[in-house]
Amino acid sequence: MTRTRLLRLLAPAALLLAAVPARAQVGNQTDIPVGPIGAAAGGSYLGPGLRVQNEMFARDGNDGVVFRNARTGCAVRTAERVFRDSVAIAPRTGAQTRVQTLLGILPGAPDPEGMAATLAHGADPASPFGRAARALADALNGLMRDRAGCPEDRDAYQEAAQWEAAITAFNHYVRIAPDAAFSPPPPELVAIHAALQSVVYHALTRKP
Amino acid sequence: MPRHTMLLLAAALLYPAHAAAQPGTTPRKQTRAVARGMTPAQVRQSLGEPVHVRREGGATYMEYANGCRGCTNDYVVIRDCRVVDARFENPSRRMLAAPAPDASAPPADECRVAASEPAGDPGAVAIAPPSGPAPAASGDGAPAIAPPAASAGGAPADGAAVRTPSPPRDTGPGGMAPVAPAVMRPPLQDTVPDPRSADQWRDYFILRRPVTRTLAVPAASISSPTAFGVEMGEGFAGVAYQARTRFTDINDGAAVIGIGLGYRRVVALEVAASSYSTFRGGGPWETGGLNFKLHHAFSDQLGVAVGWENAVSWGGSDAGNSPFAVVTRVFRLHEDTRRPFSAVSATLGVGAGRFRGESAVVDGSDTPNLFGALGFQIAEPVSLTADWSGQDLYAGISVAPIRRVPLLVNAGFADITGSAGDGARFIASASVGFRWLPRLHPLPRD
Repeated sequence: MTRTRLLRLLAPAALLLAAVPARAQVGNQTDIPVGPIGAAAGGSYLGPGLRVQNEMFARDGNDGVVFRNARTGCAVRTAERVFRDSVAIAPRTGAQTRVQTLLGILPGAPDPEGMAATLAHGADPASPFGRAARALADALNGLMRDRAGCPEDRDAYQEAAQWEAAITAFNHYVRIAPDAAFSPPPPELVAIHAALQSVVYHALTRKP
Repeated sequence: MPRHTMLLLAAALLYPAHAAAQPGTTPRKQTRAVARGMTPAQVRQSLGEPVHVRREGGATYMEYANGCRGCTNDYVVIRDCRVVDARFENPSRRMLAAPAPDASAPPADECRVAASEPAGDPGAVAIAPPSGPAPAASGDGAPAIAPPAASAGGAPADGAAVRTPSPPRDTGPGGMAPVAPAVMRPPLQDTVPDPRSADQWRDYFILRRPVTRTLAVPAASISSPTAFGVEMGEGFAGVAYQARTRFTDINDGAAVIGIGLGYRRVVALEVAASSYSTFRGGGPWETGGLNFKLHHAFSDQLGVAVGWENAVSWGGSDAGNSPFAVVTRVFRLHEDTRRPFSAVSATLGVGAGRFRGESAVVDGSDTPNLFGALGFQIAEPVSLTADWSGQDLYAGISVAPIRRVPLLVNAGFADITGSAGDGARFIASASVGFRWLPRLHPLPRD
């Protein structure tokens, strides 16, 4: 930069500085405003505020539960299919048969009432544990029945809400179950756990 | 030497080296296989001692721990001293599709399903300690588990000769290895827990995935305020640095901490305290100000806000106060944020104070001025921004270096057009978001 050009640039700056000292520096202030610093506060591309993300589910604009994206929905359906294929060739116990029938893997009439009674471990159906058992049985009803295809729109995966309800109900059931319910746990619970865990894990770890 | 002679010579030299480097056909990854028709002894030689043996009807199940937390054990089904089926979760085990060619009646000694089982006595089974969950019997015919007994490795206890399994004979197209049946690939662990107490069972059963994580995404502006802000339970803190302030050669730093009150779908207030003094002067918070932003989100992609930077200040800050109103719109170009160029944001506002034009500053006029920003999310953790502060043009990059930590690092240059006449100025900031209250809804809105 030549001295002439430098002087040409510095002259108005010197005039400006001379004209607006101290208080008049508003607009040319040296102090850094909050805007550049508080970027974590908002204005990102995933919506306002702190961004949190569930690796499987999200809420749409109407507060409905959807899969996080269509790829996740497709991964869940693929995992369901693999699980169905996996258990189809294997012998199964009565408890596994009842659970897989309730899930819609095996043909037959599901029995959510019977499953709820089994899971309730003799508790009053109106008690919190009885209600948790019923909620789990209802959430599992038809959960893994064969749904063909992988739509490109995540809203087309209408089983998302049921999957979220099933996972939530299962964890709630496990948390509030009395100690007696685990001495030992009913085999139906083991079978439910195996099905949910296998599908969730497979769906979330499968490489696209 | 002619080229083809050299090629032949090279081939002659390379072939022995290739042959020496390929001893046999040992695969690089150890896979243990069983085939239909194998005897229990052959299964034990291939897979080792079962951790559990149970009998249902005419079938005997040799169970093997598979390392999958919460899954049932792998098992091989035996009927009439022959393998008839198997189910494997562990990917290192496989069931071959072709039946074994040997259909003759095996010796009684090969029908033992466990090393400690007496030959020819299928009713008494001593097994190794179960390493998986032991569900209660519920009338399904599951036998009671025998007391744990010492169990050796895969070799028979009496050292009797065991026939080796027949090699797989089925091949896929082009001679490729047999295709294993579809199996899940669950998480592998060294050991499967054996819960005893109710709390251990609860810990065993709880599904830990899917999880909800705080996610770091890049900023949509580097200087201009946006219409989005924190709400109840959320907060942020950050520091900023500029290598040179406008018209000076003095660097400067600042820090800020802010929290949100209320809910953005109704109306939320962001309150932030800035410290303009850092290491010089009187130290942190000797000079500072309070900033307020009232914001409302119509949707996850559209918001409006009014704010007042430095509505209250102390210590002789020269930042002045800057009221503003702003609207921000996010345009999603792709639903999947991991795709490049998945979103663009546009921010447009009007403000006084620091947002005024240079002429207004010189004239001492309070005439409001426009400001705005454009942001391009070029990758999930990276965005490019261009800001017009009302006075200078900014260009910068915002990076979220750690995916699951809400830490943003921004860098860029202020006044890239040189409107002030003293050249562009390097600026940088880093901020981190946090929660000071738990989330009301476990699932985030997107």
